Amino acid sequence: MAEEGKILDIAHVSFLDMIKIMITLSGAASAKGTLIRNAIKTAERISEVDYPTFEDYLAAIENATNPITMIEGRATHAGNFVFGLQYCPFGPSIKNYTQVFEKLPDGFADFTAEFNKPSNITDQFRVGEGAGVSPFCSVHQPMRSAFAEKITIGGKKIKITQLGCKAGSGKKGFAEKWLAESGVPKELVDKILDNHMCCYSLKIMDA
Amino acid sequence: MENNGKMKNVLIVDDEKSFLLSLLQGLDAYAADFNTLTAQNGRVAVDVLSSTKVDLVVSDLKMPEMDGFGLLAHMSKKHPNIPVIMMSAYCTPEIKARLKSLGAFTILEKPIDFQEFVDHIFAELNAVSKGYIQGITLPAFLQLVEMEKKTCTLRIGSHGRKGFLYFQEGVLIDADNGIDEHEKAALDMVCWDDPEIEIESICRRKTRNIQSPLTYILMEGYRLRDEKMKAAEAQTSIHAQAKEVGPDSVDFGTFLKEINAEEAAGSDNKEKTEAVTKEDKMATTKEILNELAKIQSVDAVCLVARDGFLLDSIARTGIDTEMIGAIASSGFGASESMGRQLGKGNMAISMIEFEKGPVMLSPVGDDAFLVIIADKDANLGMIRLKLKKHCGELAVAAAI
Repeated sequence: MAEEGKILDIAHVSFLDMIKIMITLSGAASAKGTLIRNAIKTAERISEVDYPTFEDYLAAIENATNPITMIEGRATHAGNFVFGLQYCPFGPSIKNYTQVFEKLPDGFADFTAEFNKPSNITDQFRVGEGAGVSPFCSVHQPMRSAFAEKITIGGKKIKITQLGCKAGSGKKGFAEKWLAESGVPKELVDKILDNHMCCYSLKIMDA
Repeated sequence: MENNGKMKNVLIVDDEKSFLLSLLQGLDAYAADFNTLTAQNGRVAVDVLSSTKVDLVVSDLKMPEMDGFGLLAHMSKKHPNIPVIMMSAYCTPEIKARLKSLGAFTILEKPIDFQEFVDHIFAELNAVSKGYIQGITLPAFLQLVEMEKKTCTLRIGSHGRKGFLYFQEGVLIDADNGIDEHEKAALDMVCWDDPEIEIESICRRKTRNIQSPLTYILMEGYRLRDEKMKAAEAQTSIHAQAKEVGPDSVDFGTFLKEINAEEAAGSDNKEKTEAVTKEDKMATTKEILNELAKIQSVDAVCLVARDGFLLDSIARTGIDTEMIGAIASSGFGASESMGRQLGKGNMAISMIEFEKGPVMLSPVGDDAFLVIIADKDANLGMIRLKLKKHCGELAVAAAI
């Protein structure tokens, strides 16, 4: 019986290699900007949605009609508006890639460091600042925050703040700046990340 | 366009009657802005210049009796401050860009684009109004001789000195300044200030005694002059105050000095920039951007984070600075990557020359860069100088 081969998703492989090429050709900062801009542009294309109550918002997560759920899967509400995401939405891409190439492309560590550096755009979306553990965070985290700008609860705007993230290796990253600003204890985020890959908080803004 | 209540006069010199006539017809629409005078060759133009106050000369290069070179030579002696626009059928974009980067007179390619022609007339007349008068510089004149592949002998006078430069079909083959000969004489003469030029349309030397190309002679000549000046300053222990570089103080020598200093003394420049930074750190980001935006023909100044997101900008209406920042980020990053790949060290300025003007990129601190968008009349030397002066203090002001 012939040995079973591996079928790759070429979109996954191309995306990861494209990030590497972008870093090589234009530098990590420019590549980071391009990925964040891409995330913002994607968010611009979704329709605005209002949930009458926070419970309705949570229900939309459960039935996967919440726009944020559509891009990242179901998050778990840990209480006090803090959420944990069990699976990284880029997990399948990484798995697909490492099936063949064993490790992610070179230069990804520099890129991650670049994403975690303070900047206007990461301030605007309250991401990074240590919560980035891979280049994919620079797509995922701003995209979630940008999607949140299209969502209201009871007619009030919401803001999402990234608190921490966990790499496939198990290494955790914490956004000290956003932890301090949101008042969420680091210990809680650490505990959530034991069983989740990503942790963020949601705030319903005053009208 | 009025100057002391008098209409400005533009003298157009060309031997093609039909061309002159069509220009006159077109310029009739601007009769309220300036008077148009005409001359059919350099000789007639000299007569007009001697009898009439002329604010701008637009001249063809190839004409009977006295050609454009003869007219330029005459003007270098008698009317050195009248701005000049030259017209030539042999002008490549590279030569245009080079003459422009030297701060030299404008050169337009024939056949003329009428709107471009009018735009240049207004630009030159406005420059005169603002005091940005640029007369005929010797480097620009020599570049023109090279471009037109002219055979001639130039007699150059300057502050009591005189010498000769010999060109054979645009190639500088020999020089004599009365003290030295050949390349050494040429290196000295190309830096002479306020030159009075006489031109004779034959080359009186037949043997080529200068092997270096003209561009090298010009660059090296100014480098040597700067070295001499520095040595003289050191000897007399005169610590000259750094002079504010204003629009009317930029000349070819200054421009080359900047290039040479940049290439030869990166760390020295950094120290100077830091010194400037400490002195002027009270300036705000907006004030500095304003200073850059005031440079003639600059359309937009954008301070952009390296990730491509705009930090601040001043731009004329119609320029999408957000989008420019995003696009420029790739260009800036690509320029840096190329420098790294080639082992060229840190990037100072990256320039992209478009048909309608340049775009210049320059780093600001470790996390941002400046984008300068200018139109085709921009004085590139001036922009470079201002960038060098302000990028350091901008990094401090913007806390980058």
